[in-house]
Amino acid sequence: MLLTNILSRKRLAAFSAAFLILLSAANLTFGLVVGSTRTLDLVLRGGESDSVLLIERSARTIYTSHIPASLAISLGRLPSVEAEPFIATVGYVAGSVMITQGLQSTSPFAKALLSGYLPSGDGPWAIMGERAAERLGTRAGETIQLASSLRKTVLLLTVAAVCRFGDMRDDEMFVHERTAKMLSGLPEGMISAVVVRGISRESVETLLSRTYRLKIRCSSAVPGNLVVLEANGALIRSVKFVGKVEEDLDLPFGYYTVAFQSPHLTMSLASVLLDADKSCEGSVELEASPILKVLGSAKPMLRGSDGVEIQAIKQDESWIFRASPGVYRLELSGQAFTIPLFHSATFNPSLVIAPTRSVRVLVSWSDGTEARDYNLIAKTMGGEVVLSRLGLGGETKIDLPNGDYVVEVYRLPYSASAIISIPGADEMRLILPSIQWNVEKVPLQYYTLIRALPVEEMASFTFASIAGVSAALLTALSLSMMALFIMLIANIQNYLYLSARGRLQLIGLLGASRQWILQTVGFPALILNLGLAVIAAAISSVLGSAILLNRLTVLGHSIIADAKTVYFFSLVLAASAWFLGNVKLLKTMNQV
Amino acid sequence: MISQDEVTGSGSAVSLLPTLLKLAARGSLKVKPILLTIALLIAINVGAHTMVNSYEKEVTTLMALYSGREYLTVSEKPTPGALMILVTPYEMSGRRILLVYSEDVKTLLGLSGASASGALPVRDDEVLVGESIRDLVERNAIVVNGRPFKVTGHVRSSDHLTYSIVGLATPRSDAQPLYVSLRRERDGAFSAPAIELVTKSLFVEVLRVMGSVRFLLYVVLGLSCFFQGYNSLVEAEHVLRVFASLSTPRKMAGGSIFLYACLISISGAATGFSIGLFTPGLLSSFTSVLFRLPHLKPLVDLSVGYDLVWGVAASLPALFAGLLWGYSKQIASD
Repeated sequence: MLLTNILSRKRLAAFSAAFLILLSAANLTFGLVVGSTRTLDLVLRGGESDSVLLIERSARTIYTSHIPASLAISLGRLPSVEAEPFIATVGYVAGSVMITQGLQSTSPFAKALLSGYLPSGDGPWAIMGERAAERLGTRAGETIQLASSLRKTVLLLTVAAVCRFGDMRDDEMFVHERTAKMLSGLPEGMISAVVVRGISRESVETLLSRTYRLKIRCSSAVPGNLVVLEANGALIRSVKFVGKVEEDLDLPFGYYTVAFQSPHLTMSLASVLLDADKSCEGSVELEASPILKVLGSAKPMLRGSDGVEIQAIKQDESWIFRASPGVYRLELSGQAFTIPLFHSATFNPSLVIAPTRSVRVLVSWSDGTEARDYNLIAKTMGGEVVLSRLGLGGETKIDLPNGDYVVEVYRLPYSASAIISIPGADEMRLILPSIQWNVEKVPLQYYTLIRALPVEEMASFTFASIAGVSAALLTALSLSMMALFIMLIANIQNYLYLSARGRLQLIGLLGASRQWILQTVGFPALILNLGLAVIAAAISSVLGSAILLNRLTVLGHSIIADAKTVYFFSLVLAASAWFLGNVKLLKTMNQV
Repeated sequence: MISQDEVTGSGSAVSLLPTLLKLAARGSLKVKPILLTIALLIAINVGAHTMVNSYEKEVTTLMALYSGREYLTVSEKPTPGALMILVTPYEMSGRRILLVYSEDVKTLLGLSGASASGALPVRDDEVLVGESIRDLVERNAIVVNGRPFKVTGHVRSSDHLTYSIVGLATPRSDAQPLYVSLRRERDGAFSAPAIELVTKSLFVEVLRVMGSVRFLLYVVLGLSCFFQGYNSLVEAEHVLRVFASLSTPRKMAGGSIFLYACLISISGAATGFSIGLFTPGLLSSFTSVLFRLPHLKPLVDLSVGYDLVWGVAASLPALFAGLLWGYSKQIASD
């Protein structure tokens, strides 16, 4: 009551109105800038999640991150840990940025389905978030053109479904993970990130922050290579040996397979989940005198590598050969077969359906020199390994049945691959490139140390920088505005006391103490300020959601309204203005 | 001390202005906070605007450089030299695929960077089938809309063609015509790589956010100037005492105050404009020297001029009204 008597109702009403307008405008501005910064931040790190997200150390956005898919497999092998590969990219549809995520399965979207149907398996389909579909004016069943931001690829996709998630995903689009890879141009074996559950961030960081020693002891009677494969089967180490070998490797966390490989014998020796220093032993056990049983009545002929013929014994409807371990040539009904005989085996000629064709594989370095000591792997288009061979010179002959194959050559840390159709081609050339064009094949332990970018990656690198610049710009803007608003609102507070200066000076002359002034004028004014701050925050939240936030976007996402931060800002602003105003008030009283 | 002659002069509004300015220079009118408010608000708008302009220009140029010279454009409108294709979404054995038809399948494959194993279709009843859907082929044939087509080969591609049946003539009348070319369409929505368009969109979005904030800032600037103007004259008792003792006519005092408000507003706007241009430019120079980052100069365009106009338009009337109100209040109370 005394407050209204001292400062007058009219004055208080004018102050309240001005304070409310200014504070609402300040809140709205702050909410918009903070909302934009937060939205940009969330979009760049792939959305809000309580899981741990692993991305490339040097990447600034999830869309420019490349990490090996094998990391997800290795983490998934830890007890009670779930690790999901995550592929995300930035596309462009009808004048609008479209964040696109890759999916392994659409079943988690069943509850969010609004229209259309959820497709299964890969294909040229897309699932759109509700707001994204509204923005583009697209419905289920329509075909859209999605341009890749980083590659020369425009995908034609059918909108299979529109979903309502109630979060940031409403502004996004979802495709099969294979389609997402086409769009992002991620190399084979690479993903954008790994989403990990069941383990803390600190534990993952500790696990990934160092290398572990893997001691391998192996013995073999036949010459060959000791090979170490990472979780997705990629070769990371190959050592040529005969007899015994001891190898100490410093490797990052992962699930590794230790195997023996000779030109005709591949054998898995051990599998290790390397989350501490570990050792493993293995030996290539060969049968002393393996038996080859050839089914059928036609007499086969078996010769050793030195051309010496092995005698066959007829037994029922088959022929039996007893020989020492080695590689033999079997001749049967005018056809010849190479038989690696290290353990007893049966050869059924009726199962040899298609004849094979010999292909010359020429492997060289990019400067034209012949490559030596490399691993050659032939896979079907479906990824099934049909042949694994150690290449000693620049030319290796391989026999493949009819079909299409991907032939890969590894001479670590370099690798190359090509596709071949049988019949049709009798020769193929593989050129091992230099490291700067092959950065994704660099051994894991060096991965975080390298910043060699192929030219085509520069666009994504620049995008990452720009995203950082935009976030910095918006943050700087919000900070400078905050300081400015405190200053401006303090002026309104000053008006309240200055306009009643005469009355306040009179009270001072009558001998009012500082404490009395604070109790009678200061604290009620603080309550008034805080009350107005709450009203202003409410007004700006409603106005923001209704008018501004839905119309404005950041990277194709509606700006997220953060009511709590706006209320906090409003209260801090009102309290700061009150404090500055009261300093002025007490100064005025002192002048009396 | 100010003499009576100095104050009254010839009796016009302009003649009182030097007196007001002298008082302001002595600190009696608390002009610094007003100037600072106007300058800072305009500086924020101008600085952010000119730097976004600069980033947009520099970055899109960089993007164009890095993303290479080859573009693939798929347009809904015919463009010169583009290949027309007809596209229909189709469902076969529970799988979503695309029927893609073109009179020149070889060129289409070339544009998409795809290759075909086997022979290219030469007749209307021959098609190529994408690698990813080759399991739908039975005995070298595939049935679409009840019509059998001979499969002459398979398409190996890293785009939608891997899920497509590619032929010469469409069996569907509802096919959507699209135009594919390797040219870059300036206004084309679907030119890939689209990094330049994506970056431009990001800057357009940032400018749009700033545009919305800008008008709010002008509202804040207006209100702030009004109250600062009022506070300024309420605190400047000495000035008002001089004006009152001279019995200065209200009209003349109003004119002088208006000229004074004009001067403050324009000076504040000019200072803000300079700070807005100079500070980010200076910071960019420092970062380019210290961190070898590219130096970006603030880029002024016509829309930056609007910041000045809006700044003056918001501050001048509000400041004048505030000053006048404060003056009237004090004169009345005296």
